Amino acid sequence: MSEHKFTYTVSGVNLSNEQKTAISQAIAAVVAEVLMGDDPGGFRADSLVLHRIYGGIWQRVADLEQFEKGDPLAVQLPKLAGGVERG
Amino acid sequence: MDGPGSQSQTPAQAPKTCPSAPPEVGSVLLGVVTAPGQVAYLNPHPPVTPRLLEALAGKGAPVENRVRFACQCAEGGCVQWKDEAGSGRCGLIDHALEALAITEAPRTLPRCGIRNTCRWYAQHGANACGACPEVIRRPERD
Ligand code: SF4
Repeated sequence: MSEHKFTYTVSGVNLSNEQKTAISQAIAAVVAEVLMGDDPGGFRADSLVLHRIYGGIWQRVADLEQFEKGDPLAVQLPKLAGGVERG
Repeated sequence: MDGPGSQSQTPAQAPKTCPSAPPEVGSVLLGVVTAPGQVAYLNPHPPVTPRLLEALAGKGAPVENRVRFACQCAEGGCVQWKDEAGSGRCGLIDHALEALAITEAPRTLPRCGIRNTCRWYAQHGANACGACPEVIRRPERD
């Protein structure tokens, strides 16, 4: 598995913790931006497309599509009983 | 000196880390989805700040689609949590492994940096790492 390590050194000045945090965040943001590339579009999870996370709950796509069409015979999707989606 | 509670916690009981966390303060940046099924895991993991989120969203990319975050597993406070007698588990990784029919671990594992505490790894071992890069928090719709 490929791995790439970059080192960046600042010497000759004392950096505050705030400055160090700001620099490491800026580096991370640039790395993420480069990795995202120029295409700002979103990706589909084709391999997981039989299910989708809807309101935080894993749903079968067929059920979800019926639900979205407003089909009265559609399976009732479970209510989000106070839970918050974290994952 | 050890922190509160650390003496009585075994590794299995230690708080777990969710590798598919929301992009909010309190989470850290875990990686970037570079293609469907491919995540570039970053190390170290910078903490999420409003400024970082702004920078990530700068190009107009949907952050939850293109970036992965990690945070402490909220267990029963998350709708993915499946309660079982006396314990519980993350339902998301169970479903993902089933949907992807993953029964074997990848030969090499990415250096994601959270394996020691990863909730998914704790449940499924290295098999979870086969499904992990497939997970997109907010997949693009048709
Ligand atoms: S690669 Fe494995 S250990 Fe790391 S976050 Fe993903 S599932 Fe967890």
